[in-house]
Amino acid sequence: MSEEQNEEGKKRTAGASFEQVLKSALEKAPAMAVPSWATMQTAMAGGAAGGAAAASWRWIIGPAASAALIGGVFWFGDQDGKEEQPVEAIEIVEDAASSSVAFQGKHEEGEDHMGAGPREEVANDEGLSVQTALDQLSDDATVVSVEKTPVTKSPDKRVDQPIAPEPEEVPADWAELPTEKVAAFGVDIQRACVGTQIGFRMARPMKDVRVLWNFGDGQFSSKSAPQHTFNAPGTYDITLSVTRISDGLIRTRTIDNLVTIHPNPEADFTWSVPNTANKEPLVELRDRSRDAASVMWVVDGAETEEGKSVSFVFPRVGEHRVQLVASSPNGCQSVADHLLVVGGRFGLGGSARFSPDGDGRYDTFLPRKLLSEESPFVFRIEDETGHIVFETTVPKAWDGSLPSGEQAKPGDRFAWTAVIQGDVGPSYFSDEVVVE
Amino acid sequence: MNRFVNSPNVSVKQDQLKGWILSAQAGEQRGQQHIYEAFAPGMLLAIRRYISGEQEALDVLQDGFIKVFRNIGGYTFKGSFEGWLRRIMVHMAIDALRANKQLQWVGENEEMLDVLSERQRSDEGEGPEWAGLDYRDVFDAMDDLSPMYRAVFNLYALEDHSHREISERLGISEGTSKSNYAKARRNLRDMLRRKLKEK
Repeated sequence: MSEEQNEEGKKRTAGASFEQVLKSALEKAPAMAVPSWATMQTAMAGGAAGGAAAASWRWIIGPAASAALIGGVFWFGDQDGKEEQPVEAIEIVEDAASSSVAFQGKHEEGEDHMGAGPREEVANDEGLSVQTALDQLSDDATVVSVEKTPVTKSPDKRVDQPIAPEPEEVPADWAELPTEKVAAFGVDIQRACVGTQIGFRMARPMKDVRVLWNFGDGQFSSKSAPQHTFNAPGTYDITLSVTRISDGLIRTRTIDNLVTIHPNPEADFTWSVPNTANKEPLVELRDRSRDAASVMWVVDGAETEEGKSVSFVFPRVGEHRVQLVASSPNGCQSVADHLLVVGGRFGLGGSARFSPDGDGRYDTFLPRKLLSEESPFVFRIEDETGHIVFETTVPKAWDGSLPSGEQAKPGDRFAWTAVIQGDVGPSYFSDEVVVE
Repeated sequence: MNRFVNSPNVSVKQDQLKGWILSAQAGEQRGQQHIYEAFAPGMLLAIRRYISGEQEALDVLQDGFIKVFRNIGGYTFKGSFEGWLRRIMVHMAIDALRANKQLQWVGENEEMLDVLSERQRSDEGEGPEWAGLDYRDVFDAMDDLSPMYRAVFNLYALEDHSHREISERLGISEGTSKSNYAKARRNLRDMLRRKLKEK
């Protein structure tokens, strides 16, 4: 930033509160690109807004935050548990002859007719849609619009196919049973981490019923004992609705805060090789995890160590698998996994000996692959006392000259190391060369 | 056809705007289109301050305009039309966060309330510290706030709502609103200081 710009900025913000500074900065934000009007029209006509193209029916305005079509019945329910749920379910009966759509359903007060709205057919990119709007469905929903579009598959908004419930005798007094007994259910895990599959089951499996599970995250299942994976942390209210097929009697029960999903930490680490030559490479590992309360290092599936920053010596040539297991305060874990390469002379095409005697043959030493290495590297040679006698970061070979001005003599042994910076971390090569 | 348009900030004359609104209230697409093209970019900016993902913000924008056009008959020309639009969009953004369970409120914390008042006092006259800050820094830092902090900070600091209004809107206590605001503000300042140091 230029001094002039900085001065201008200082004048602009002098005496301003933090909030005023932010407002001022945000006011300078350029307009953002928005979908064209044509796209917007399609969304309005087809109910595609909000990523709902995958849903077969969509309830747009009102307190409910979720909807699904199962067996011709349109279901919706409140997800946050704070709003009332005046309507348990609506069945939509299309009547093309009279150009209307009737809403049949179960209301808390026992009403079974919700009203009717005009039937409108709207052509959009996905085909023909049927839509309607219904005023004053309930106190909480001033305008309800239900739009039907062709079902498209999406992994995010999947509605499971119904399966036959487990056969079991239906109690004779089913209709009289209180809701909590009919629709009692449970989960196999109440507290879990993001990505954990959780099993749901009814307390008493029934036959000749349709079930609908609302997992509270916008996903539904009509399996009698579904497995569900929550992909975001939070506390979820679970709702089970059971419909007796013979007469359409519906029982619904919600258990607030039934499932709590904890976030996973994000495991990550970096590694580097210290600037010292050594036949046995020392690699420093540094934890870069997010939201982790503790970490554990696992090297080659065996050695373990705890700590934010640790060092390991890799005594053998080859690939070493380093894993960092990060754990959150709630016990959720994630693993970062990298292969660290430790190579010898064969890995870089380095000779075992050289003869700097001026005869034109093997007069200099540099592992062959470093001549064409495109990644940054450091190549170092040290004598038997550990003093560095040669170091280069360019493809320049060692001619045997020592810092003292003398030449290496036949029989002298030198250790060399090469550290090449790769895309994800450094690779380490080390070996010995003998002067002949 | 290009799916996206980058509309300039349109300066709308009041009589022209009234014509568009009346047209939209009559269900005409012409009026709806004018309103959408004039106000959508600005509304997206407002939504983006609450919703961190661009695609998610676009979804809220679409849902918001669907709601606007379904309810535009309820606009009675009392008060700013842009303010009316903005309120709907902000409500939609907060509803989207709530639907995704992203708003989980931190309880009241008296200690933080003390910190808040102390920090507000210490702000006086320290404006030059923020020289060089631009909107990208602010967006980036706000994206790093949790959704709950971001929502409260936006409503209080940038939309000028009172803590009472925020508590009613979000179903939390005034104390929780103040506490969340204090923490959001502190985090935001720390993040922006770091960003400026890195420049």
